[in-house]
Amino acid sequence: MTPLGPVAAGERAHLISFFLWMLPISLPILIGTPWIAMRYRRQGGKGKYDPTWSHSVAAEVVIWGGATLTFLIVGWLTWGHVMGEDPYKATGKEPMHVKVIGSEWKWMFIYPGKVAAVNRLVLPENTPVEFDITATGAMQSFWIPRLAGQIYAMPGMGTKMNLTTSEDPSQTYGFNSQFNGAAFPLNKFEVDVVSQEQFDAFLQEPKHPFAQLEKAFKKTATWSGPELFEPPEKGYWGKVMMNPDMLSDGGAAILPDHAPEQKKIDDAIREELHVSQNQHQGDAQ
Amino acid sequence: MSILGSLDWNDIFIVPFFTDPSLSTGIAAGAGGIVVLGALAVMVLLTVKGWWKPLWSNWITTLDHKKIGVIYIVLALIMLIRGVLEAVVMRAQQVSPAPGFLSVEHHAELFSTHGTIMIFFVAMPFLTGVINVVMPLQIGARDMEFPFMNAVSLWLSIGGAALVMASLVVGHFETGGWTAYPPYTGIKLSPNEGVDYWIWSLGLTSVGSTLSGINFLVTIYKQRAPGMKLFDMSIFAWATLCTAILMIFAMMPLTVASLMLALDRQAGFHFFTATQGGNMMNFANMFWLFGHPEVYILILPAFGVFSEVIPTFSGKKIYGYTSLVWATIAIAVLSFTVWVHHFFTMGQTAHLNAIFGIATMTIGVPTGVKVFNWMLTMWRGKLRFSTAMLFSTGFIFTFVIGGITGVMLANPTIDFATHNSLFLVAHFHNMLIPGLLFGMFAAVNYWFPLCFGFRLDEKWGRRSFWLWMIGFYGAFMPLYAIGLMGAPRRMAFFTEPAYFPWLVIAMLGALCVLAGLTAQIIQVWVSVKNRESLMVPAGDPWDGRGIEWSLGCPVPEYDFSTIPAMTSREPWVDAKEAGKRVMDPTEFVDIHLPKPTGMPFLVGLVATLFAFAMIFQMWLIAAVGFVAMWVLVLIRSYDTDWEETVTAEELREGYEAHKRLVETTPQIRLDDEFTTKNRGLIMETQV
Repeated sequence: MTPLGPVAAGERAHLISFFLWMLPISLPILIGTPWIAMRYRRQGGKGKYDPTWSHSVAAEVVIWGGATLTFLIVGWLTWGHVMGEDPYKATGKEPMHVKVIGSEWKWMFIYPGKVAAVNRLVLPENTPVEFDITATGAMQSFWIPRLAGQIYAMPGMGTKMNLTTSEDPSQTYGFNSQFNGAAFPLNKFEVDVVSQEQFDAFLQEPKHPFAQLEKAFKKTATWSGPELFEPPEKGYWGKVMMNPDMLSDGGAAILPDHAPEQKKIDDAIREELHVSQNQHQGDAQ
Repeated sequence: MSILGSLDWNDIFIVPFFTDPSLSTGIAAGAGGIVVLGALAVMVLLTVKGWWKPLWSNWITTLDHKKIGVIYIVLALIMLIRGVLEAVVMRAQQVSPAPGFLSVEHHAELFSTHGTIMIFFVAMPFLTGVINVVMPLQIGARDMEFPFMNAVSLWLSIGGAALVMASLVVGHFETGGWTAYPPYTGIKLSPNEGVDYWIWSLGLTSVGSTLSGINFLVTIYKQRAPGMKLFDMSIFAWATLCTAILMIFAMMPLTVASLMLALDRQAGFHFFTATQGGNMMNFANMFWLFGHPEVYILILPAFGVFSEVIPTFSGKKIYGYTSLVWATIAIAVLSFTVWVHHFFTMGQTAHLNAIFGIATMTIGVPTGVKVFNWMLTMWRGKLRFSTAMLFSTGFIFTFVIGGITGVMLANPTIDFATHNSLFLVAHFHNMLIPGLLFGMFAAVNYWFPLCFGFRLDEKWGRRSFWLWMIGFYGAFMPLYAIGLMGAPRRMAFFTEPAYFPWLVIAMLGALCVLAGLTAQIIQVWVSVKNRESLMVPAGDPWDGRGIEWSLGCPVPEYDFSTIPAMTSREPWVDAKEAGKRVMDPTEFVDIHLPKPTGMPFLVGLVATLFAFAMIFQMWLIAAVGFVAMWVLVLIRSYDTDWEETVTAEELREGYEAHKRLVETTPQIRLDDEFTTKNRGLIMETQV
């Protein structure tokens, strides 16, 4: 898929470069195996038969040497890639901070002091962003494929991810890639990269009180309510990280075995499918 | 609490279908029905044919390593059928209009059982079975060092597999995948018995595998024929040696981690919970401390098989013996240094990720060397493409593609973008289908005559190879593609229309694999039916090189009438080149073999009862099962009358009979290898 930001673009470049670096050692095998199979076949093969040939210093040097050389190259490249694109390292000066809380099956994004949002991530264009990530309930993996690779969101743990948003406004999505139960396919969120003016306008949009979000977040499996709320008090994310049960009771409130909740999940899945099909029809037109 | 613990009517497989009829519950009821009816059909067949008694006295009570190996392989094949069928159902689910015919939870049970079964109840018993049959014959031994413990391992593994099958009939299996990460698998988010099924079926089989590892290692150290140095062993025996060491050290973290999870769930501990001092990252750490060496437990025996099959069917000595051995040792050592690459995304420092990424890539060096060694073994050979050789060649070609994607995934920055995606799923299937299953299929086709005295049908064997090969590419190349487009694994349905054509190809590939498996079942059926014409009583039907081929087929229970004299690395090849058709006997002496005993079966039975009781919290029954298990072991320990003697005279008669048979068997040309003229002892020198 086409990357929208420099981090995802870097990951794709590494992928292509590694594929190419593996070819010099792999192509001889991919071409050589069928060729040897043809040439040395017992019936009709043209190759010379030498049943005792079983050692060659030259071949050993080439094989061990070639494999080691390839290893040294890809190892060297890896060191550079990992140090250069450490998700814990800010991608620019003074990145914008977003606190992330993953839960079954919804995401909370806190813009400290400004706004809290559910399942909706709005970011200004061409801006470095640092996410502080935790979870309640099960472990999840926070992933916006077209902007950056994933990092786990774990209850009781804080992780970080840095990225720079696309140069121009764009729309994409993010999701949890770690299976976590009955509504796993719905565990995603919209990502809107907008101009700075639009972003400022977004922060000014009308908001609901945070207490309402906190109460509903605990009880609801799949989110269909309002998206924007007043920000929580300072240090709230840290409190959730230290005590994830305060937002979900370990996720036990939304057990899939629980029949009414299961029905809600089924309805939500049907709803979601209906919406996304219409969207795709819209795309086609 | 009742004596039956948490078990209730709703756990019985057909009840949910009546209370909540749907295609999803219908499929679950159908699968449970197949298990019940299948078990009933087998019992009826055994009764009608009067086979209960021979089954008990020849197979269930056996301590013969070859028969134990065969039972392991049969277990693997039965479980393979279930695993492949599950794969086909999941592929069908993803091509049917979203949300498909399975509930998300049911789909999750399918991928969890598919993974658990394929690793622990197909791959592990398959390789353990092949090692059991072949390794003692290759080192000139008469049995394993601990034949009784060998049978106990077997019945523990079967008990574990039986529990996974039972989960189709009674209750549910877990939904957290074969890795079962907490806190999702903790008691709060997975309150039913599914995770306990996973814990206790793995508990049984992981203890079985640890015991097998000890058995293999001690057998190799203590039972080699006099004069056989470690560097005289076959490559397969070397692979077994390394695998055994991995088994001993790697299975324990799994046993411990799963038991800790059990304590979390049932005794209120907090090892892996998010609060009260627990940390789920420790589970991931311990699981992969097992899980990565496990990958090489799975792959090294297959590497050993290819190192036997390729020289035989190339009519040539193996290229670079020393190189291959050191590469095997290097892989075994390095396999313990790379486990963090399974969770690069857990937020550790860049330095740690980089070091483990680079360590992972070092394994590519010895593995790459091995691939080139097999190619150079074929180079200047005269290749005969038997079924075993086809699987070996197909392996070399296909495995390299998995190697490329493996090195790519070892780079943490690439892993961030492909972790938890179908790209990863395609990668590990690309390693394990050629790198494990193809190896085991080659082994079965190659060594089958040692156990049963006849060859397997070549026509159906070759068909099965092509179906598996085409099916593999069809099923997994599309997953690489949509994985790179960002398709996550374990997803019950996709709404992205761009994935659809790829999923259809993958579905066709899965059907093709199913056809390949069917061809193998037909192959066995046809071979059994035509066994008279496929008999190779004189042994050595492929102009083989290892000393196992100096024996008649099937191999007698005592294996060797006299322990072979190891005058070189390949004494059987030397003997054949000197114009001999049997190896010279050394000294005939009385030998002692362990008597058949039903005790290992009983130990497995009560252990399974214990595990089942633990799953449903039937504490009283669990306690009885646990005590019974150790009482049985104690009784056995005080049994002094456990050996029977085979006299030197009987051994000499066996040897003379084999010699007469060999001398009257007409020698035929290699060109007739796959015809009914092959009654054994085929030789290139006659051309």
